[in-house]
Amino acid sequence: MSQALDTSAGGSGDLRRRLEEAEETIRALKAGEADAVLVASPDREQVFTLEAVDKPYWLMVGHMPDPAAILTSDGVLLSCNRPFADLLGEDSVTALAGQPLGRFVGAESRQVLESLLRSGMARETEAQIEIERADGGRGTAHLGVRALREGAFGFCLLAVDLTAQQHYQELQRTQAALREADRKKDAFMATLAHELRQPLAPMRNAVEILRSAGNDTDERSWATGVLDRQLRIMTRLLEDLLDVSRLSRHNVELRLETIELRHVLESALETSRPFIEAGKLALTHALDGPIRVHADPVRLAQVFANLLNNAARYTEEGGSIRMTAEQVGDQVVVSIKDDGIGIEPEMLPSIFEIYSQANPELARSQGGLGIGLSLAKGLVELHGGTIEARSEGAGRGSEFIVRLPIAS
Amino acid sequence: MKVNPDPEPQEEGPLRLVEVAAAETVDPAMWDLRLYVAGKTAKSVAAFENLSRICEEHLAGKYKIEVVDLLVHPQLAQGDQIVAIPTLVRKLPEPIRKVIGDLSNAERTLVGLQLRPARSGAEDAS
Repeated sequence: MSQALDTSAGGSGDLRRRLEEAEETIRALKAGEADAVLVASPDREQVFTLEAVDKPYWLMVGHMPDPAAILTSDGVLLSCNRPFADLLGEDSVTALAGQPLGRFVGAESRQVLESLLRSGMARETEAQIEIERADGGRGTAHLGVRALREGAFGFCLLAVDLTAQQHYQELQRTQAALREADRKKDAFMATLAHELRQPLAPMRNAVEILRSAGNDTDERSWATGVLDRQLRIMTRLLEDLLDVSRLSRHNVELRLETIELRHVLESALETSRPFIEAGKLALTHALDGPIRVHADPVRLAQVFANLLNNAARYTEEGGSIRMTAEQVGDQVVVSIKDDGIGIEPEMLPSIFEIYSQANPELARSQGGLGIGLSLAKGLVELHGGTIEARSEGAGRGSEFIVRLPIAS
Repeated sequence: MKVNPDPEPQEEGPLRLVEVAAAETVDPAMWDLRLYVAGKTAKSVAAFENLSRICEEHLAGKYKIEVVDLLVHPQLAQGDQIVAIPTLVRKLPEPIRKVIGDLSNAERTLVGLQLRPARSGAEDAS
């Protein structure tokens, strides 16, 4: 730099300019904005380029199957592979060198890109970027950015479109969900087989007794009673199954009429009474009246009967169930609350999913397929209402709340 | 690092390499810019692209860019005392100004060419 300090050439202004140039040279080299230097010796000038140093990176990027590019720290494209040019809708890979990537980024993503490049210098970072392609189209890239050391002259960035990887991860998640659904379905099938087989033994016994009873009327009426009850259980089971299947195919037709809600709730109570009495449960109810709803009385009674049966099933002997209905605004809120085994908090969100059962072992021992709640939800929603489950945890009872629009 | 003592014939590419004519009459209203590059290194290519864009935006119709490839003509650097490549030299209007690097920072380039006044305290606008 002795030449730069030679003030005889043009005074202090010239010296200042040369010092500034020297500073600017150092800055550009440090920032990686220059990739060649010229070294002058008395007999000749030699040019040294950094090409050899970063060539392996370039080759690597060129052969990557995913879109990839090398950028300067402020986002100017230095080199990219064919897939990256395709991503930007640009025919020529070489024409992209020297262009700021920001040019191909939608206005809404510019700031995202800036902070991506900034944090990419410090650590590997990813972000979703909206692409405005050179051919006018639009697209999305999930860019992962990381710093590459570029020889002794500073850093540049490697940007890779991870969209394909993301799709792969999404597929993996879907696959896991499908496997879980499949597992639940298997468990459901096992329960279903068990439930369908259970009435067969008493029915077979009853048939045997009928065969051998002769004229003994007591024996005969006991046996027909068994057949009657077990047939009813099987019928209900199969009806529920068919309804769930119809609901999932949106194949349920409601016969709507404007009715008194009290009649629906009483009909549900009638259906569930045998279960409630079998469990020696205390049932209380308080119904605001008169409340009229526009509903299918049979289907709606099925909803509340299912909820009552569910409460009875999961409440220990001697427990209590309370059913209330009150008008709140333009809705009627029906609550069915028990002091039974309750629901674990982590089970609450999936309680209405088909095949889901708070405790499959318990449910099997007490009968039921765990489809009653799923059915209730589907039917309530068909009526334009909502259903909600609440529980403060295991052993602390459950409450099911149905909200339905009141008929005007 | 790679030493390039011997000039190699240049293939067709994005750089338009213009040999510098010894003496030329120049319209005083024209901007006479000279960009020193080293073949087609990434920064050389980037500098040319960035410069073309900036000129089209700010000096449309009144600029001339000469690209000097120092791999081919290393001796042409002498007059402008080039150290780092790429370097842009504004020959006209006077005084001569230099901007070193790939010109990827448009703001810095505009300030360097005096197309925009430097912001106080914001010299390093990277």
